[in-house]
Amino acid sequence: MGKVTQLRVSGGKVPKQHMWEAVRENQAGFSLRIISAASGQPIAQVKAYILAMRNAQLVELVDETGDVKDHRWRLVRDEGADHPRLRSNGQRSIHGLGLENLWRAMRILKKMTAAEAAEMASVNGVRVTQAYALNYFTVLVKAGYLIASNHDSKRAQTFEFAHGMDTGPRHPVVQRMESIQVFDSNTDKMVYSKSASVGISVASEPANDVEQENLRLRKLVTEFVETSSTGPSVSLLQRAQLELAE
Amino acid sequence: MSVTKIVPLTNVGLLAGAINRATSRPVGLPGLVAMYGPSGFGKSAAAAYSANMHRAYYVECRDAWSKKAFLLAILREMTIFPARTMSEMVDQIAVQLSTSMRPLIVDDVQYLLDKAVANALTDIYNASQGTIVLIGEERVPASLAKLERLHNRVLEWVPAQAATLDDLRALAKSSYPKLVFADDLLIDLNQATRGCLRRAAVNLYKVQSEAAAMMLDHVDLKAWGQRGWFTGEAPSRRAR
Repeated sequence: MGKVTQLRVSGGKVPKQHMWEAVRENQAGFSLRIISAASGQPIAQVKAYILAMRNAQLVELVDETGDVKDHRWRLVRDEGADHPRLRSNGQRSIHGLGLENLWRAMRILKKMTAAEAAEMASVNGVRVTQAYALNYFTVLVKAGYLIASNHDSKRAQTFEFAHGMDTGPRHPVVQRMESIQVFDSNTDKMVYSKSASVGISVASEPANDVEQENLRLRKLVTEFVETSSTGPSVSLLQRAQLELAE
Repeated sequence: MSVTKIVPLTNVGLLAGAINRATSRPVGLPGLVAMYGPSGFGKSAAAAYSANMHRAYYVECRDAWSKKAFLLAILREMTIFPARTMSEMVDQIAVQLSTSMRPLIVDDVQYLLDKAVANALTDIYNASQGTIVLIGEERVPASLAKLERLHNRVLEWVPAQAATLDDLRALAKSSYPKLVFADDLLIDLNQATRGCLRRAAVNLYKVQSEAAAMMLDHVDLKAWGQRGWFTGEAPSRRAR
């Protein structure tokens, strides 16, 4: 087999993209362990994605000896730089294609109404309603990507790119934040407040078990450093032993 | 003034059909599709719809582009980190086109065809055997004829069609649902603008604002009278 042409995706990457690039680079033979190490993703998630790819007949098992993590797999159908979007049963997912189509149509036509955009984006089983397109464009106007024409009762609003805001082929992702506050006017106090993003987790929250483990270990090490003069307590030693036993 | 340009029309269907046939062509047949026609006929609308249909990569050419700029623009569309040399870039594009099976749409291709950049296009096609859609102005077939290696790889020629009465009706209805345009008015408009949808859209806007001023909800040729159409020609000087 000849040299594999490098197709690395530019810009930010989702975990599955890291896994897919690792699979492409080791397409002649790879194991869950290899992909997990090369992509920096937890074994459980790598396994789920590889099984989805097997169901879609993109990869096949070649050697079943030894531990599951060391089973040998091979890529049978290369789909290029972008990771295949699959459900766990191997069917193609059309999740996110509506937004992708809206963004693509906007980039090609430069200027349009929400109704036209919805019509352009509704192809191949993807359904985009006018309200959905209008909603997305309105958020993009707030974010500074688009400029909306003035309101006019006779005709629909048109949207066009603000200068230089056609940033590339991938559509901006809208993340909604959920925030809750409880205020008690008897005591004149804020009793409770919480804000969390829905969708992709924020950087301060551990996203997967590798990150969680990392945080736990860091905490232990700091405790050790703090107790360096007095020597570690019994409970600290026990917890450290537990970590090592895993 | 902002004038909406598009509704799915004749040309949208023509291009989408041609790309469908090209992507499902039997092995051995060439895979280029060329659409050509004057500006304002709705070629870009056709491109946008077809691009969504096939998740195609879309690049719009500029006159000033060098070979390298062209290759970089395609790789940017593919979100692929470009390699160092141009030959490696052609490889990257070709591999991505043939593995992903997504078509490449090159709009305003007339800017490339008369220059050395056209060879990059031939390279990409030969290396990938993918589906490549060229969209450009009237002179595209003539320019392609000079490039023999590309010319005989065209599977289908798609001349953009001038707007029909049906197209104008659809455009009028989707832009101004509350106003009724009589057929005689639309026929006269279509003749004056020679099937150019963009000009027709500008004129429909004029009709709409006049009708609003006259409080009409139905306009025909008689009501429009001798106001005339905007055809893009500069006004002739009046006799003194």
